[in-house]
Amino acid sequence: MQITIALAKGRLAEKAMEILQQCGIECDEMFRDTRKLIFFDKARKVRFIMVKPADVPTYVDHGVADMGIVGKDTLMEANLPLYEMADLKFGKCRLCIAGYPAGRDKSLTSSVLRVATKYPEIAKSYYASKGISIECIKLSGSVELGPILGLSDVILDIVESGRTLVENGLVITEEVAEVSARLAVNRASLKIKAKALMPLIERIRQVVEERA
Amino acid sequence: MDTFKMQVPDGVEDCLPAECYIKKRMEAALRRRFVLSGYDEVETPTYEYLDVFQSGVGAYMQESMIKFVGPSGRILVLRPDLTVPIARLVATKFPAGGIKRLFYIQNSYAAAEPSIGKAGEFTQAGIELIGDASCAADAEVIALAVRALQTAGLRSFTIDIGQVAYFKALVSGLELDEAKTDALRRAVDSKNVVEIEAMTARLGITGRRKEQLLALPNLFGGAEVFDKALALSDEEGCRKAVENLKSVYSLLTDYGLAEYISIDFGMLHDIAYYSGIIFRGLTPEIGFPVVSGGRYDDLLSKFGSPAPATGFALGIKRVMIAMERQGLLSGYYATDAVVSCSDGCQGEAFAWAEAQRAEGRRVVLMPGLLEWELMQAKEQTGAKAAVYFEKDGMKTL
Repeated sequence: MQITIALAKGRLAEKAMEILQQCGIECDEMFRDTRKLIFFDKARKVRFIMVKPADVPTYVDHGVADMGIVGKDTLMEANLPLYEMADLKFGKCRLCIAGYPAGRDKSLTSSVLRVATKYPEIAKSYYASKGISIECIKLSGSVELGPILGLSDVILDIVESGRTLVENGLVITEEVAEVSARLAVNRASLKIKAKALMPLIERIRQVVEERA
Repeated sequence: MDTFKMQVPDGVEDCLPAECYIKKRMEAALRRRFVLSGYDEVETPTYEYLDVFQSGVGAYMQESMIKFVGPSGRILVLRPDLTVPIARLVATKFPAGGIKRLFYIQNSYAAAEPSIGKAGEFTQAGIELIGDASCAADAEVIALAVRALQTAGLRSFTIDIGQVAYFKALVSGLELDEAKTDALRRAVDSKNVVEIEAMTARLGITGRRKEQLLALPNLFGGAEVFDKALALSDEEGCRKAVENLKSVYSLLTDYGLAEYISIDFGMLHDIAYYSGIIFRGLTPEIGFPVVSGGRYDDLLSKFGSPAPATGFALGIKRVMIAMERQGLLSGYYATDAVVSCSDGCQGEAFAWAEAQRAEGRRVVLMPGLLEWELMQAKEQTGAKAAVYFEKDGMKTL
């Protein structure tokens, strides 16, 4: 029984392949310079699809991929009913709220907190759980500019070293969640393809333990 | 503005002849199957008072319902599901109790963001068995779910069964409030061991109980799971839950359906009214359940007439999508004849067509065509015969 794994194009896919190789899945093809979007392992038991990180949960949710490897931040933003079955413990960072140390002057024209972020869904649910109303400003990158240019009061973003924040005069005010790469599995696939998926999931968990 | 008159709103769609044919054929087959199994059909209103779906058992997320204000000023909703309306119907129209077997084939409505298999308007075919708390009732409903999927035309599928009472017994002694219980339920249901670990640390759950909660997501598989579940907890509530599921499983074996069944004690539906055995039907090529159901013994008491109940709903569109991807969808109207006539012979043609229809044949009337045009129409419709009426009489082309 063939299984399909969705990988997030880029650094996450490389790290994920390292782990999968240690699990005995060989796929040299992927490391060649190619524009193909679908790869097979040597034994042709696994099909890999290379997709944008934000699309990994979508492919897994619809069941066209049985499992996917992607950051916890992407899973939280997508908020889909997937089985999150392993923490792969790479790609570690934190989702944080950051702003000016003193809070600086709140803008007169807005009684609600303005949050600039790449993660509007996470921002809405995080503040909703605290009972705070916000105005969410969706940006695609360089989110730190939000408070600097007066577009927003704070930002919600992933923080690795914190250097970008420091260099732009911002500080972390709250930590929302710990992020790392996760193994997400489709609910129907786990049951229908249990014989193929469960041993692989177990092996992945073992390899992660060994690496730690 | 003018472009809107050419469109339909997000989430709804037209059902064109090729799809409609298969959908109606499937519904007719399911209706027959439910009737033969002793269930009586009911219809409930398309919209009801918001109060029916609000607060307590059977409450729906407000943002997931389509609402509007009725003439009296009360808020109305397009029904988000059919189990709650049927619970209301039974509790208010048949308060005397007794066992009721009811089914429906009706549309439900959701305000969710639409995508494949997740529409704003969707047809559900389902049954409710009300007034029977026995394992036999659970098994009857699950067996009928299997039969319904077979009747619809699916070949390979699994019915995944769980028992929410096992989880409820594990958390009952922890004295968690509703929100924390729900967060823990969600972590278990999504098999998120990382999150369960973090939550137990935060909530101060340690020792044996923590181990049990962490083991719960992996408590799935075949009949071997029962022993694992018994070994994991000797709590009275857990033991009862396992015994209950075991009895249902054994009855399903008697039905000859064990091959379709898998067990998962870590499956906990997100609809809050489920109280015991729950299940979902899964099939390859589609990531969402095609059938969803279970026991909801506390729902009818919300409408003042407590009674145990169980049932399921089958998503017609989801089954069709799965079957299409599995290469199982085919069929269209079979036309027996196309009929035309020369000028002045309409009477004979009309009479002949009606006589054929009275015998159950599908006949398309196309008066005024030339013979070669009628032959073309025969090709296009795939009709079995082309019949032409002229002064000399009738001839088959």
